[in-house]
Amino acid sequence: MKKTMLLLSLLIVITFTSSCWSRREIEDLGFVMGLGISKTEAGLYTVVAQLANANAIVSEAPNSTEIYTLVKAEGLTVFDALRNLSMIAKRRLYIAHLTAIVIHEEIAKEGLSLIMGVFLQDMELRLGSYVFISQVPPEEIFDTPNFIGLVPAMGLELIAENYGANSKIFISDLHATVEAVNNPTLNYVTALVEKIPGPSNSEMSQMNLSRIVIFDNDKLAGYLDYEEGQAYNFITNNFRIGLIVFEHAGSKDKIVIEILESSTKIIPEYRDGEISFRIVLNIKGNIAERIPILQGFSELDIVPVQNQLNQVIEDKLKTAIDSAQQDFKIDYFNLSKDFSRKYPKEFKEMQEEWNDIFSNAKIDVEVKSSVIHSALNKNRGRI
Amino acid sequence: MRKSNIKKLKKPVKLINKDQIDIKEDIESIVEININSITSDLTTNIHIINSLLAKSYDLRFRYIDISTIPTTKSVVIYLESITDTNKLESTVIAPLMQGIVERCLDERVRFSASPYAIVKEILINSSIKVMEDISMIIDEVLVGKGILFIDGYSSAIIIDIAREADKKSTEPKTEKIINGPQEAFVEDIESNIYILRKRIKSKDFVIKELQIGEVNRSTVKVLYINNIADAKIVDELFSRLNTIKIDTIYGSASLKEYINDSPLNIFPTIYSTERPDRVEAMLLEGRVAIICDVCPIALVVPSVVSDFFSTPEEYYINFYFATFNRVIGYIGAFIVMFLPSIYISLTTFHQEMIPTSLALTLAGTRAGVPYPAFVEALMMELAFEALRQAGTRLPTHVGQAVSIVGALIIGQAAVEAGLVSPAVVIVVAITAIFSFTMPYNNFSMALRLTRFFNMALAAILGIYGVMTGGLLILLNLLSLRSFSVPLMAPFSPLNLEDMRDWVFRFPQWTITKRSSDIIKDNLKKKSSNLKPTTKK
Repeated sequence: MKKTMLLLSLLIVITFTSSCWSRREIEDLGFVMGLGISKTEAGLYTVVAQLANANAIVSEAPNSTEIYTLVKAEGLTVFDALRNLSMIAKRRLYIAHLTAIVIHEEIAKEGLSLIMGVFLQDMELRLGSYVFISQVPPEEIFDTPNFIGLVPAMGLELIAENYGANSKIFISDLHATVEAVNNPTLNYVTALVEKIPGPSNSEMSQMNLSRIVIFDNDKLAGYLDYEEGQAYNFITNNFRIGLIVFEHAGSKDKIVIEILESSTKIIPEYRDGEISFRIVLNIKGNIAERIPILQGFSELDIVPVQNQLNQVIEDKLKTAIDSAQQDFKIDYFNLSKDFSRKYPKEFKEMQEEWNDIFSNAKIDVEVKSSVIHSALNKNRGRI
Repeated sequence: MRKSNIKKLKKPVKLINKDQIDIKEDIESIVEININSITSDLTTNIHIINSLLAKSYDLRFRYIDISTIPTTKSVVIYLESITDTNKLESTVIAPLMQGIVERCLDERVRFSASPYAIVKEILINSSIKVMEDISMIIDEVLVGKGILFIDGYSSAIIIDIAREADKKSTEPKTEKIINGPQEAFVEDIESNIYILRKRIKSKDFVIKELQIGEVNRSTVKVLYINNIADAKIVDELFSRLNTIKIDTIYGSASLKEYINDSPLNIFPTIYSTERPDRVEAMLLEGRVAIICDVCPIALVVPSVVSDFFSTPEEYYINFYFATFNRVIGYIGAFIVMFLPSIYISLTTFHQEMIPTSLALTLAGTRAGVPYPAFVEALMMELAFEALRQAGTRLPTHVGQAVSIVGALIIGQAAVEAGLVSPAVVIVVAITAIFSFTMPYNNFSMALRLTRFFNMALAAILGIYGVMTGGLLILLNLLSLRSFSVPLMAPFSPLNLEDMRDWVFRFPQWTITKRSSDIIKDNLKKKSSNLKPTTKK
């Protein structure tokens, strides 16, 4: 009897202390797929939410503009604006399935830490959604209906996930964003999303991840193009698969190397008050394409191609590092992470002026590549 | 007489040597004697046979005096359940007895010829053999032959009086299989014994009989293999059976309720089957079977949870596919218990756990449904259970019509009318299909009931409720015993060796031992792994 009472009371206690009372039917939820944050001239925060229209999604032939709806509200803070949305949206806003957050450039320039609090503290939110910067108001980015039946925010997520096919761009998720914003030594990096007109008259306008956005800690500092983007991914060990195009020294043919694997090792060195870095890159790739310029196809020696590839990548990386050191004077590669791991005490002292120290540091690049095969070519070794 | 025997069985019988045999002692105490051939003394022969086939209730002795001056005694020994008594009377007893009258005085006075003379002149049976080896004689008895001993002659005459194949046995109704024997028990208890005797030709096959019921006396027979089954379990079963003092029992199902370990529990702890091949296999694993008068269902104790997930068919097909079948059964058990409750908890509490596109689809299909997910699922589950019941009650052809109408109404009209969402129809359908994959009906009934309990918990507490329900069910299952054997064996206590045959279906040559969960001694099934090899 005593045992039963104990069990029963335990059950009741656990039942009432668990947070499972918030019962809500799935059809009453407004699934927020995308969230855009911008600022009005008066200094109020504007939040625009893209809700998926579940009814239209399951219907047999959904209209491309029917599958989502945009709601917009202003507030003193982001959270205030979000709550103000509930006075407009006909559903209870549910942000657990949020896939994309688009932040207006203006706010990014002021500093992301001003708006990240709500994302850090909200219990419903998961930190997997991607963060983008936009130069146009976020609602314009989100209002890009397409013919493939995707809610634009979900389309944006798919584009972001495809970065591994080109490695020219880099997108941070919310977790990385929150971490970078709250860590004064980390410089945040993510992608810029732009709206480009459709390729033909009948096609609708589209979203495009055009550049990498670099930050001085949490404040927008500049943009990197695709060349520098590849270099960024090489240095930060985020390179997955991508193409390197160069002109063959001998035949002047255009050679395309598809990089299949890339691993980076950063070796910081601190000697006599001088900081230097050695970046060692190990890459593997194949010859994916070749455009003959002068004569027809001739035999190609792999070793010279490898050497030239090493040189091309080395140049690419050096240009990017120079630009970071001379033009931006910002360590957006976050080399400080590697340095602080090896020299934690020393780093603490120079933490404050790290960007200056980085700008003057000596950085060597070493590329070791191996071209493993000539892709699917019948004439092995002779392309 | 028989009752007193049963009481004496309480302690395991000991093996004794040939020298110690005291023929006057109760035959129960004699299990094994090392006599290879029979003697010329009739009494001794009778005792030898009696001791070797000691525990068979159906062993019969028919004494006949062959000659009168001086009296030559003889006896016909046979197993009543598998012999044809008409044949016995007309081809053995009648010729022998009438012979006394008809035989000339001279023969009557000195019956000196060899037994062959009788065989030749008197017995009109078609198949007659003479044997001396006792083990061969026993084998003949076990397949339904009669043996004739004549006082003063040290050989036995084997007469074929076996019963013809029983046409009464029918096809299994509830435990259908595609490959393998299509034989089921029938209402007649003697036919059932005949079916089993035909399958188990062993001198250790014991059949005990007892009567239960004060007003309506029903015959109950307890079957086991003497040197395999655990004597403690047999004793326990008899003590439980002996306490049943009621006016009447209604077949084995009501008997089951009187000998159950946990009479109030939702889960069955006693296995029941209508398939003789299943009973045969289980008896040889060391279990005890109970057959009742006028009931085509045999009970088997002790039972473990894996029994409820296996069918005899798995031993007639490829073992890879058989294992696959069993795995589907186990998955089915989880789906039947939890799928509707997981659906409810995900759609009403934990929408973040559903993949985004599925969440949107669910939200879209549920739009316009007036009830909460719990009510919706409950309605559909009840509708399905009603349909299932209607299908079994109605005559076969009408039953089919009902299921078509039901499927149309539920699958099509209810969704189109916006009463339920297509997702819940799918959930209910999957649950229903998986509930049919479990071969054993009684167990899946229990699981189907727990499903409603889980659904209610899910509606109140979400996944937390489902977990609570699952834990309660699991704890309950773990606490169950079937005649002191844990019901959850071989999962708990974990017995990997038993799992090879019970949970998976390893090739039969790898199974060399019986389960140590059920019996304590005589575990060895075969001497070694008999994997077939090709000689080079």
